[in-house]
Amino acid sequence: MIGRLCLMIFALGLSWPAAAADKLTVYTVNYPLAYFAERIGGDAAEVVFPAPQGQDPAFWEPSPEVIAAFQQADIILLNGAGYARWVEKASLPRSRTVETSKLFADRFIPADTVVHTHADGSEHSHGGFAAITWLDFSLAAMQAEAVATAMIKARPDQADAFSSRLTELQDDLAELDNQASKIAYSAVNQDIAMIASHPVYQYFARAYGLTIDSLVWEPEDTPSEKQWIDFDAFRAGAERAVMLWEATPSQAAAQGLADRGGVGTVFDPAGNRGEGDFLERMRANLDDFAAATTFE
Amino acid sequence: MSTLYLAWAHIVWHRWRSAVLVAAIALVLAVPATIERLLTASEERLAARAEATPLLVGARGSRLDLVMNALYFSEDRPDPLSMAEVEAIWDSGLAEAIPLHLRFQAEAAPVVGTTLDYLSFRGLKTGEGRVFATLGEAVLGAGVARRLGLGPGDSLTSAPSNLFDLAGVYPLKMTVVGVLEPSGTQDDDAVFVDIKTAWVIAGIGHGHDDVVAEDGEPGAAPRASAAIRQYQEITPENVESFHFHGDLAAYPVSAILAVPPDARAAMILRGRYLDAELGTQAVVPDRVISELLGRIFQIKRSLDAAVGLVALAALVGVGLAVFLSLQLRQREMRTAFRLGCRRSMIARLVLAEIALLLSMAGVLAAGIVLAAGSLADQAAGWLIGAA
Repeated sequence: MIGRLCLMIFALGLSWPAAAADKLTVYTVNYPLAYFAERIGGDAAEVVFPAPQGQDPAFWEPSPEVIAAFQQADIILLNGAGYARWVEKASLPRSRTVETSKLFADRFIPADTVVHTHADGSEHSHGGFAAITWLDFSLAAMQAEAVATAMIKARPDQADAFSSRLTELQDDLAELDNQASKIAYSAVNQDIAMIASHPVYQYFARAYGLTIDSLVWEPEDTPSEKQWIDFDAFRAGAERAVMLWEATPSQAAAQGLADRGGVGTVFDPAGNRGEGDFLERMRANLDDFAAATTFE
Repeated sequence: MSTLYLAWAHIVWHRWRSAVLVAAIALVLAVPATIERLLTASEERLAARAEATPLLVGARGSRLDLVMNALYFSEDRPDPLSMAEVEAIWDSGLAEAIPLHLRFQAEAAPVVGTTLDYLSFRGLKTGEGRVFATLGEAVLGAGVARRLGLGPGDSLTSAPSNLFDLAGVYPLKMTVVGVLEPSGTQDDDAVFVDIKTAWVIAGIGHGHDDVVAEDGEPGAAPRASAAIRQYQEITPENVESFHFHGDLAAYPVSAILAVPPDARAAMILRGRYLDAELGTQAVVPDRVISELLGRIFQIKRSLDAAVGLVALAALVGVGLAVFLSLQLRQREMRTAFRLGCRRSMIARLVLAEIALLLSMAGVLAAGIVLAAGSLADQAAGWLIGAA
C-alpha cells in the first residue's frame, strides 16, 4: 500500500512539470482581455496581465524586461483601436500576437485629432480611435471570440473545452448587453444631459443609443471654474444632468455637481484589475447607472 | 639516398632560382583549385539560403533584384510595396508574412527592418544581450559586432541610403541591445531592427517636443507651432513622443518573406499573384537562384577552358625553364661524366631534382588551397554581397 502511494506521488511529481509546461502562456494589455482569457482558457492557460494595479493600462509604459516577457508568450492579446500606446513602439512577434478588435475595425469610433507642423513645413495629424471597445458588450463578445480562436489555434486538441467556455462567456456578455439596452431605453426618453469625466464611453453610448458628452477631468481633482463652465455648456439647459465618473470623484467635485442639481455615478471601465471580476463590476456599473438615470 | 642528397644540395645551392620555380608551379596548380573551391562555396551558400526561403512577395519587376535584396541584403532596390500586403497574407491564413525593410545602412552594414518572426524563422539566437524590444534598439549580426567591436550597451548610427539623399533621411542613433550567435549566413553581416525603427530612420515615424495647449488649460484643444524639434536618438525619456502618422497599412516594405504551412497553401498563395495587372509578384527564391547559378556555371565552363589553357601554357613555360636549365648545366654534366659518373646516374640526379621541386610545389599548392578553403565562406559571402 505504502509502495503504491509512493509510486503515485512519484508519478504525480513527474507529470506536474510537464502539465505546467504545457499550459498556454497568455499575456494581455488590459484586464477585460485577461478576464476573457481566464474564462476561456480555464486551467489550460496561464494568463498574465502585468500592468500594476492602480495604473491605467492604456497609458502604462512597460519596461524592456516586461516587453521581453511579452515576447516569450504563446499568445499576446492586444485590444486594438490604439489601446495601450506602448504597443505601437514595441517589438512583438506578429505570429503570436492577436488584435482582438480586428474583426470590427471598420466600426472604430474616431477620436479627436491634434494637428502640428514640422520645421520642414510638413503637417501631420495625431488622430486615432476611441479604444474602450468592450463597453459595447456585443463588441466584447467578438473580442472574446478572437481570444478563443487564438487559443484553439495554439491548442487544437482542447478546442471543445475552449469553445464551450466561450459560449458561456458570450451568454454572460449577452445578458449584460440586454441589461444595458433596457436601461438606456428608459434613459433616452428623459431630458437628461449625460456628461462623462473622460472620453471613454463612446462605444457604450453608440451601442445603446445614448448621447454622452465628454470632458477631460480627473476624478480626484477639484474642477476649476472654467471646467464648470464647460460642464454647464454641455448641460445646455437639460432638466437633469448625470455625470459618469471613471472613479470615485473628489469631495469637492461631488459637491459641485450636487450644487448644480447633477447626479453622479461611477462607471468603472474596468481596464485594470479591481474589486470583483469583470462581470461583477459591469453589473454594478449598470445598476448604478440605472439608479442615476431613474428619477421620481 | 645519395642521389636525393646531391639533388637537394643542388637545389639549396641555387635556392632563389629553385624558389621561383616552386612558386610558379604551385600557383599553376593552386589557382584553378582555389577558384573551383570559391565558386562551390558561393554556390552552396547561395543555394542554401534560397532553399531555406519558401516564398518571397515583392513589387513586380526584376525577380533577381528582389531575391538578392531580400535574401542577401544586396544593394539592389526593388520598388517597395505596402504593409497592407503583409496583413493581407496573414489574413488569408495561407502563410506567415515577415516584412523586410532594406534601404539603410549603418557603419557599412545593411539595416534590416523586420519583425521578431524573422529571427525565429532563420533560427537566429542572441549570443549576448537580448532581441530588440522597442523603437531605436538594434541587434547586431556576429560579423558586424566583431568588425565594429560593438556589444550590448553601445550605439551605432544609421547612414542615408545614398549621398544624394541629404534632405530626406536624418541619421538615427540606435542602441545595441544584443549580438546574434554566428550563423554563417548574410545575417552575420547585418544590423536588425524592428521595422518601425526602419520607418523612423526613413522619417515617416518620428518623435518631437510636446505639443501643448496654448493657454495651458486642461481639456483645451492643443495648437502646435511650427518648427517642432525632432529627436535623432530614441531614449527612454523621449520614446513616448515617437509616433506614426496615418495608416500603418500604407507604410513601405521592401519584400515579404512568406512562410506557408504546406505545399498546397504555397501553391494557392502563388496563384494569387499570377495576375500581371497586380503590382506585386510571388517568387520561389530557389528557382531564381537555380537559374542564376545555371548562368554562372555556363560562364564558369568557358572560364574553366581558359584557365586550363593558361595552366597548360604555364606548364610549358615551366618545362622550358627546366630544359634551359639543363642546357646551362651541360658543362657540369660533362665534368661529372669524366669523373666516372654514369649517364644513368646523371639522369637520376636530374629526375630527383625535378621530383623534389614538384613535391615542394605540390605541398605549397595544397597549403594555398587549404588556406583559401578556410576563407572560402567569407570570400563567398563577400562575393554574394558585392553581386
